[in-house]
Amino acid sequence: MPSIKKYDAIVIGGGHNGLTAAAYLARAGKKVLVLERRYILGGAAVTEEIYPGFKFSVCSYVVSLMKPNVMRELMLPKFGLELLPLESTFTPLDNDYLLRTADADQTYREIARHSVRDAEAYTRFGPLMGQIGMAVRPILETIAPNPIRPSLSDLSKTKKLLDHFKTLSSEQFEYLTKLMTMSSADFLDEWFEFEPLKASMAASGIIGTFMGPRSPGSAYVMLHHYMGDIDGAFRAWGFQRGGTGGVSMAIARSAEHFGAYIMTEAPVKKVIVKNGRAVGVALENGDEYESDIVISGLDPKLSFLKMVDENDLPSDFVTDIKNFRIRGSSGKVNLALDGLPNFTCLPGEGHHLRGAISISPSYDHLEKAYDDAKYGNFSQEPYMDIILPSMLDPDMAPPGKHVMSCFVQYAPYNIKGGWDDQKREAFGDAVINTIARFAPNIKDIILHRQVLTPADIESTFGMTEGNIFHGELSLQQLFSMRPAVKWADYTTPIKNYFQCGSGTHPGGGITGSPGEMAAKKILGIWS
Amino acid sequence: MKQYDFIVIGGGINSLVTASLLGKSGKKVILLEARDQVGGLASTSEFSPGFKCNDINDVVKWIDPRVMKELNLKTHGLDLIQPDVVRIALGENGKHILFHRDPKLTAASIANHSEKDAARWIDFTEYIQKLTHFLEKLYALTPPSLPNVGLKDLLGMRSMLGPLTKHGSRGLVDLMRVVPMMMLELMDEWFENELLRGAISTAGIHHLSFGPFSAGTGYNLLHQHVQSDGVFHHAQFVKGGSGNLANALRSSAESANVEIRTHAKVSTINVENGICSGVTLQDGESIEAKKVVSGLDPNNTFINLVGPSNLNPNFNTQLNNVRYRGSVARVHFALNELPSIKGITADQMGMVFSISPSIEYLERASDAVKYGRIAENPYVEFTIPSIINSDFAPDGQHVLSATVQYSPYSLRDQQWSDELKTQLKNNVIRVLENHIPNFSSIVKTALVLSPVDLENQFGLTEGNLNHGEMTLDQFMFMRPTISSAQYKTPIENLYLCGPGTHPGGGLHGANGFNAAREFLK
Repeated sequence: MPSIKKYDAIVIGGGHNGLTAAAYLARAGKKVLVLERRYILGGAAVTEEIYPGFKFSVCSYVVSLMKPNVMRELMLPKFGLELLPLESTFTPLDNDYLLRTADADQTYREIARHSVRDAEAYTRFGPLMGQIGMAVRPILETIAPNPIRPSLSDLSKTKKLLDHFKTLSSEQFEYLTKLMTMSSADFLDEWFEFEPLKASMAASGIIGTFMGPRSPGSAYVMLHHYMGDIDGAFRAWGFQRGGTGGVSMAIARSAEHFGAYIMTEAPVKKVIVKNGRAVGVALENGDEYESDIVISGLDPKLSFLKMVDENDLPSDFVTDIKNFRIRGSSGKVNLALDGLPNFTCLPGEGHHLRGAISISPSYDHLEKAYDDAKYGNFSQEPYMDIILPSMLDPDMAPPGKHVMSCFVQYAPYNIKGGWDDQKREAFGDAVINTIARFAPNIKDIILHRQVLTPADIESTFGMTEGNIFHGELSLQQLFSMRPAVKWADYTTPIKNYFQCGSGTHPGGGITGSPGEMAAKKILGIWS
Repeated sequence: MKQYDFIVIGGGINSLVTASLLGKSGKKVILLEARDQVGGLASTSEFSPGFKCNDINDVVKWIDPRVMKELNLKTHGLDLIQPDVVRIALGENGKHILFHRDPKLTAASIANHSEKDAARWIDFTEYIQKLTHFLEKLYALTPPSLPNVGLKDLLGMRSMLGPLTKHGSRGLVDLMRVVPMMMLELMDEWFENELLRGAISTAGIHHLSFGPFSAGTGYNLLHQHVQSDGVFHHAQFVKGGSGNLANALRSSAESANVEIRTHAKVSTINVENGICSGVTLQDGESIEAKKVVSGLDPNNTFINLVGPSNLNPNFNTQLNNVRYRGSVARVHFALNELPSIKGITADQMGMVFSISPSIEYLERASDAVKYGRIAENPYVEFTIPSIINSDFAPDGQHVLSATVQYSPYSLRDQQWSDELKTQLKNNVIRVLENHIPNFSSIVKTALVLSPVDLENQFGLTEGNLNHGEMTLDQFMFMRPTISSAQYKTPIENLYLCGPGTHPGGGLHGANGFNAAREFLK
């Protein structure tokens, strides 16, 4: 138990953004308390030993978007951050495969095996996406201005961004516009012809969304996933040594190093609001802590519809938050394996097991998976993004054994009739059957299977509807409108109550960005 | 000395508007139309002995008020009928919602299904009207050339301050929210009744290849409601048939001394060293002019008539990436008698019907596009034009014209054929029979226009009625391409005025008006 009951700042939720905000505030000399509901820190970025000897990145499983300056400023490598790059993206097909690696020449040859035209286009596509990624970076790093009642600083920010856009070439601006509005399939069709390549690339446009590759808006999500940056290597995904929880733990250690106090198993019941000001929090167990400010790392629905009373908020804001779209669409299946899956199209061990395995043989595969979900069922033949963390970090599983992480779409939160044990297992079976289509031995090597439906993700990790981004990344929910207009700069209608989760700009992923920017905004107000 | 100041290629609505305005300001203009009549998609014809139909559009959603006024269309014989009931949405088991011009009456009709929704109706229509107010101003502008916006462009956009002052920045924010939305999201924010949700969503998918679960359908809904005076599902009919809109425009153009030639199919737009000098017709005749304006779609204009060898590679790529994807078919039925529709009286039939029982129904119909087949249970919107125009059919007999989505131009593993058209017709009949039980027995004959037919007969690439899809990536400064969005093209002396330009498709003539303003600068 902390001996003191009065803090400068209390952070609700020990997810990676909450921890990041806490670390930055502590670093600035503030007295900070972090309150986490679960027994373990990290939120969705967490490692747990679900099955003896096997460690799982239970929910979030890869890191690409972590901001370099956050890593540096919080000294995360010193506290255990170590990202092991994924070596490849492997798309198994029924009689063939597509394997892209970090080696550009090898990837060229491999794509050329299917289409020379695509291999050529691929060499131009990467750099272009890199340029567009750089072009949007200033937006991501700007605290969103308030378009309703802009302050002087909002106006100057807006002008800066407009000036920035003027520096783009017509071609860059054209592609940026297209990426903001098109479907990933339409966008990629302009470039490529080999369907498994297009489908695998389009898949990053559907991750975490309730859209198919042919849905307008998915190209933006593809871009969002392209903005990853590990050590300056563009579009590089990494795996945290020891599991994704290691990222959160590194941030937590950093926060503690700077003097923050972190409590687990301390579920917050309410933010205490007096005369329109947040003055502290009350825990489920009745304990109360006072603080100058309260910061919520939870999603907007929880932050505003659960942690505070609607009566303390303006009604138009409540409407905006109620209208905020947060449909959950993904599930997670974690497997403890007795050996390695053996893919029919590329048997044995190799690069292809040391990266992402994408079950995306065609657009139709993805679209049909989406069709099932949009009419209220889980996908019978889902899309999956699979990794075998034990191939990169042998400590994840006992010798000779493996862990396999399958991110699965689609599993709608609002499934017809609601989720129950039977549906969860049927969903798990659909996943295994789909993997078995490409790696038939999978069924024989499963030691343990953990199936997480969106309902499970909601109840375990506290993310409304199990939405991994704390709210959909649709155009009308970005920047100055995330999560609601006027309140997209980490402030809220309640004085001294702030937000720092993925439901704020610039959105989801293990970026640390909302946490960092919220902290900087708060420190700006404080000074 | 060149004989003409302007050649206008194509005799569609926008071409006629541009030609008239140029003629009125004293330019010597010739308009060349490939078909036997001008008017493009505002066309009425006899499809079976004694039976007439509006080939493509039964309804005029809106006409740009500037066009109405400048071209004196009323004086030239345009008579618009505005029915009190503009649309009836048909649901299951004879349930239906009447959309009236008066929102209070619409609310009363909605109240039969949901009191809660009825209570929100007026607010909703006001909300939509507020947002379309912004579009109305935007549509009258020539898009700025982005990203390099100068002070001049900003000054040119000052008319946007009107709606901004009236509705505040919250109004603009609401516009920015709704434009990229999907119908599902917009409906979730407003209404609970499925029939109503489906009925409203039809505006979002009108003439589009996407379904109501697609982002950007919010924009299409707003586009359908520009200049609608707050009337949701606004619909006007041209007395005598849609072809009379063409007649009025033709008369206006002729009074402005525009020389109109039909049966004059342009085979090439003559370009040398990036400069356009005139056109050559199919019969070999060459016509020269100082400037050439094309009302055809970008694909027909540049790829087919100018030719890729005269285009810079970048522009050529942009043009190849313009998406058309026509997904609409038309079916015209000649009927022995007036159909009787469950729950609807004969005097209510002079407007638009939609068969749209739920959003999910529409979305399922749209799934057909992505798998390259026709919708088994299509979204059908129909009118009985012979009620408004008794000369459309012999006494006591009638015409029912249906717009059928989704009927994609590009099919997988098959081509558009008579067999497929019969299948499409049968699908439509089956869907209609849920509401008109004896329908097949009163059908005398039917004409199916597939997207391929639309392409061949009306010169529409992939049968797209809007000369390019009405999606956000093909909006405003991106329409038709980022390098040709100001009615100018990379080719000197060659200009655009068709629906492939800002502000897109419809019978409004705004494109033609904006374009002419640019040429007369």
